[in-house]
Amino acid sequence: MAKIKAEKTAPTASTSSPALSDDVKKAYDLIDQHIMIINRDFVIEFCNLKVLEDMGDVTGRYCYEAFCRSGAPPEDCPLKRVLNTGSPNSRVINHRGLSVYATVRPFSVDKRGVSLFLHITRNITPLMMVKNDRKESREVFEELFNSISEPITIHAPDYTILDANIAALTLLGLKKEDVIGRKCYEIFHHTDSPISACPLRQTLLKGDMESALVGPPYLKGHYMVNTAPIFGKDGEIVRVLHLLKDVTELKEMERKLTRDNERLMMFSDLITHDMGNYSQGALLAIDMLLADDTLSPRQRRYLEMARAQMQSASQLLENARKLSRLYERRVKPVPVDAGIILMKAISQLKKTYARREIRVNTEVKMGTHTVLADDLLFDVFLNIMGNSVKYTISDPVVVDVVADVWDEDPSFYRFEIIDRAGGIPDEYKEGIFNRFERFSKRASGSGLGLTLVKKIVMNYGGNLWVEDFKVDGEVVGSVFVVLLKRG
Amino acid sequence: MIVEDDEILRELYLETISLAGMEVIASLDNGASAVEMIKSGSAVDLIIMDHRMPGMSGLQAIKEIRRIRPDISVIFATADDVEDSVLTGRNVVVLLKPFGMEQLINAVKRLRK
Repeated sequence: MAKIKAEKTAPTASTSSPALSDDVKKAYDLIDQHIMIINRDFVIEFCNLKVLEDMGDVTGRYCYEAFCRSGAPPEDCPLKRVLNTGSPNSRVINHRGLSVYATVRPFSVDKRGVSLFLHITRNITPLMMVKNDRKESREVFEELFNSISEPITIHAPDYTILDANIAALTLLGLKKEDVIGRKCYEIFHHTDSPISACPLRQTLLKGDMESALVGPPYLKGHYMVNTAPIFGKDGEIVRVLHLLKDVTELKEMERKLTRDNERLMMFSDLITHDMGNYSQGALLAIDMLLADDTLSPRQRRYLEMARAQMQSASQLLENARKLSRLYERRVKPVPVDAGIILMKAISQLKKTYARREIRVNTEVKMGTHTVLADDLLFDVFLNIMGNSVKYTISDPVVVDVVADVWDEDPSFYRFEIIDRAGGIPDEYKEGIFNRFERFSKRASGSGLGLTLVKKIVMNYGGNLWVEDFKVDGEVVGSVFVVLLKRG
Repeated sequence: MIVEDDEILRELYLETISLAGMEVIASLDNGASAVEMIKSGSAVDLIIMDHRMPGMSGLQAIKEIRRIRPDISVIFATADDVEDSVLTGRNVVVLLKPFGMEQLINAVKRLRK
């Protein structure tokens, strides 16, 4: 058949073909796909309106020239395959930035005895772009997935491992094909069912993120396993993300901390118990001697000095016990009547400093202020007021205790314990709550007092600090501010 | 009765109680012996009990003794911060070591009232 050069004219209808009736041609013209009839010599005998619109009249031309821009049918030419096999054939053809899906099937034999083939192509460029985007997204995901240093696996709700990153495979010492499709409990725990502490099981049950500490012997370390559900469109769990965090170092630190804590407990025990016992003997022996009426004034004076030192040691032991209770968190704040506790502390203060003239002015009474604290609040009031007495040089010692709802947070009471002991220089205001720090040598003591007091108050969820007490602009004393939660 | 594993403290307690004009009928170094003595019907009405001793602790000994003699008074002399329901009530005084002679005598007098 002679090759006919296609002319570019404005198409109005499909080209003629002896094998097609006019009705069929009209029908093909209505279809929004490229339809051609091609004979066994690869010559285009008919093209529909869509081809004419997009490519011009290609009738009479070799299809491989018109479509594939080549001098011969390409290797994967679908028509060539049909000629070889007698069966329909399809393929995706990418050309000039376009992707088309070409299907060729035997059509008929015309009056001339020439075999004809129907060639239908569909533009699938948008579809291919989406497919390529997905492929690209998948590649980005894979890259990210594998760049994460924590071992991650993705599981189906039946515990089947669907994916594993490189870190997970390295940790397990397995290849991807050894892991994918296997049950996670087989791979991670070498068991035939999920372990009791399995966080994945919890995630499947609760639909929430879970975590658990695991340390299978063969993994040589401790891992925090975090699992997170991935939900489908209907809210069902379709995947579970399984992430392992190596916490071996943290566990080692925890062990070290426990060891150190045990040592501290031992030292604490040595101080509170053994020192308590030794001091007991010394104190009673001193008291025995002091009971002797025949002592000389000098002997009595030195014995009383020794006793005073023992009493300081006794107070230190008492404070150490209380600190120990605080550090072991055995103190639980409960609603208590601050007025009653303050009254008891004032009474004890006057007994302790029986030789001093002490005046405590307060409107805090029984039932006026309920706070969250415990019996150690007694020590708080007594210690602060005791400091006021110690640091006030001359009698009378005047202390005011006032309390009101704190302006800045009405859930707190602000207690103010005000003395006239001369005040505390600004540079010492924070330091006085530190162990062994005293800004004056005037008073004796273990130095643990205000440290203990602050610790107690903080343990109640309150706070403690010191401000200046000024009269006519002049600092004459201190205001110890104690914030306590209202009960 | 004095129950204290430290020999020096036993002697000092004994001396203190004697100075206060009271009689000590037994001075023991462990809790189990104290329990046995109470079981055997000893006419003790007050015990000065240490806490941490070899074998049975003072706290355990008090619990055992209270089952036999709920009326018995106890001065629990301890260097530890111990909390237990058996240490509450009118016939118990807890003295934290170190305490002075006056404290001990006052506690004895209070319990014997």
